[in-house]
Amino acid sequence: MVTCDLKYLTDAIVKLDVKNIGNLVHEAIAAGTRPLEILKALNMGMEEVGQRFQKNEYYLADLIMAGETMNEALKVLAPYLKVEKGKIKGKVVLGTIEGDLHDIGKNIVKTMLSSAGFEIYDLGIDVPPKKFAEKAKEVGASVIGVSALLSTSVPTTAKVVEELTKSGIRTKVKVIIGGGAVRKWNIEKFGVDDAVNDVVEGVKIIRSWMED
Amino acid sequence: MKPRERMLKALNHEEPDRVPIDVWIFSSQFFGADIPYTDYQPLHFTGGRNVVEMLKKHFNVTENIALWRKLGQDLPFLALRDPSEEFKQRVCLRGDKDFLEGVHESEFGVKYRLGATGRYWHWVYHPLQDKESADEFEFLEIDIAKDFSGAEKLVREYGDQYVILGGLTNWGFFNAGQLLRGWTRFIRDLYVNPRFANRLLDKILQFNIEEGRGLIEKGVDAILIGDDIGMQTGMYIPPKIWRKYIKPRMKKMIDSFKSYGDVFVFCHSDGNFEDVIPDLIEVGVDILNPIQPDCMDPAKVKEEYGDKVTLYGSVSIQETLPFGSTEDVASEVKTRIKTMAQGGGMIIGSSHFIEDNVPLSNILTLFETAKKYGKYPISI
Repeated sequence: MVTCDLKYLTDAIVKLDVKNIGNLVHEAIAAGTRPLEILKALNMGMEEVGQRFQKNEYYLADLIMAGETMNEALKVLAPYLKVEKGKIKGKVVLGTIEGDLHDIGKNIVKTMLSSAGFEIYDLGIDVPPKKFAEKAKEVGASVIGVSALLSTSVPTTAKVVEELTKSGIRTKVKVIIGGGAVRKWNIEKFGVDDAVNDVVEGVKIIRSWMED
Repeated sequence: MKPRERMLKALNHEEPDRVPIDVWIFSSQFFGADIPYTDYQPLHFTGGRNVVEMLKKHFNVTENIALWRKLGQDLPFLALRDPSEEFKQRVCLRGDKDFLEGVHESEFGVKYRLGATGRYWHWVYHPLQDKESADEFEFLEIDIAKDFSGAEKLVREYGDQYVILGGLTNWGFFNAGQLLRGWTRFIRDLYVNPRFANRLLDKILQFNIEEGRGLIEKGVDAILIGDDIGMQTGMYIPPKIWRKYIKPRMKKMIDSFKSYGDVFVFCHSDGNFEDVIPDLIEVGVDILNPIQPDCMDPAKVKEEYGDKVTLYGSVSIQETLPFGSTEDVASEVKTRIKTMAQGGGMIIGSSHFIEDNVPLSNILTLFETAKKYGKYPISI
């Protein structure tokens, strides 16, 4: 639980107060608040923003602004977190599949997961399937999140699964695909573990896998 | 009935001989970016180019116009301002190979790179991305007398047969802001930097009005405003922000267009933008496109707004056309005609560009079914 006196930090995220969040975090640190407590309060704000998005009260631009606000907060908080580092909850490889260049959804997932304590390896956009498998193997990731917005790029996600199988790590890595043209039938057709077209839902699924 | 007459009747909410058809097939009408291409055809994407080649081979034709006639396209032309001489030298004349391999720059200084498959590009530089003031960007000067020879030619050659659509090269407002400023930065401006956002949007407004004026003076019948404000499940930005920044400027722009000539205003946005359809109608939009059925219910949109605005598109490019059977395509086309064609005000087509993952048989079925079942009076 976040103590009541840090609720203003949670609220600042929910209100997307990108201009003031840095100062608010500075003040909290100066007042002797533990960095991990501050992070927890900020994360509660991100959770609330996610819930409001799922209830259609917030729009995608609000999610982006929440990410911007969180990033401003983390700029101030990061040096202190290094001193008091929490346990990494897990490693996730993210990227937009080859042939596709959309990255807004991926970036939101990245912000939400990294602020929640996951270690993220972002491969960027237009990423060949093999690279996902190579990175997952190299860092020992247990989840790969593949962003694919287009009907022409979604089928390529099957190749990520093939590459994982070839590398012998398919059973160790779960694969989720996300994007506008993604459908539940993609799970069976492309051999992935889940498929969503809602970023917040995607984050929830990844967290449920990692926190099991 | 000539395509022009058919289209004008539909746009005036009367029933022509059949529902007009216009399927977005790349390199035909739209180029999909902020680059005028009137006479500069090398700038195609792989996917669309493959579709055009496949269709030309099927119909055994070599010219685009012959293909559009074979297919029965009713709105095959998009008139744009001519690219500036400086831009032609700098970008257009480099040709296909460079374009496919490198980072290119638009006439407005936006830089982009094609993805590995050649189908889409990614913007990598925005001229205002690190600027303190929107005044650090200036649009090029438009000379109405000289800069619209391509549009004039299209109107002269095809204007008696087809409705000629004119397009703004800089897109609408939201997308233009994103292109010039950068995606996240422009969102941030809209939320916390209104001075920057307002100044930039005013500049875009002035340029768009001037460009639209040039096209209208050369005789186009309609102006296309492309501004993607919708995503799969809803609008990208909250409607209140759209209403604060964009709606008043759209009204000014559309009022200006309609004062320059008797034109229809055509508004394109991907995705679901239902929240602001009444606002778009209020500011004078006459045509909405592409009514993606995976994002909005086309029948519901017709029921609620079909007497005030023409609906254009509506056949699923996310599901049915690429992944469905010919029976699925025929069934969807019939459903759309049944639920949307009454009283005119409908142009049927794909709900975005046909890519090369759409089988030839599905493209042909779309046209054949629309021609067969789109005859008025509708009797499905």
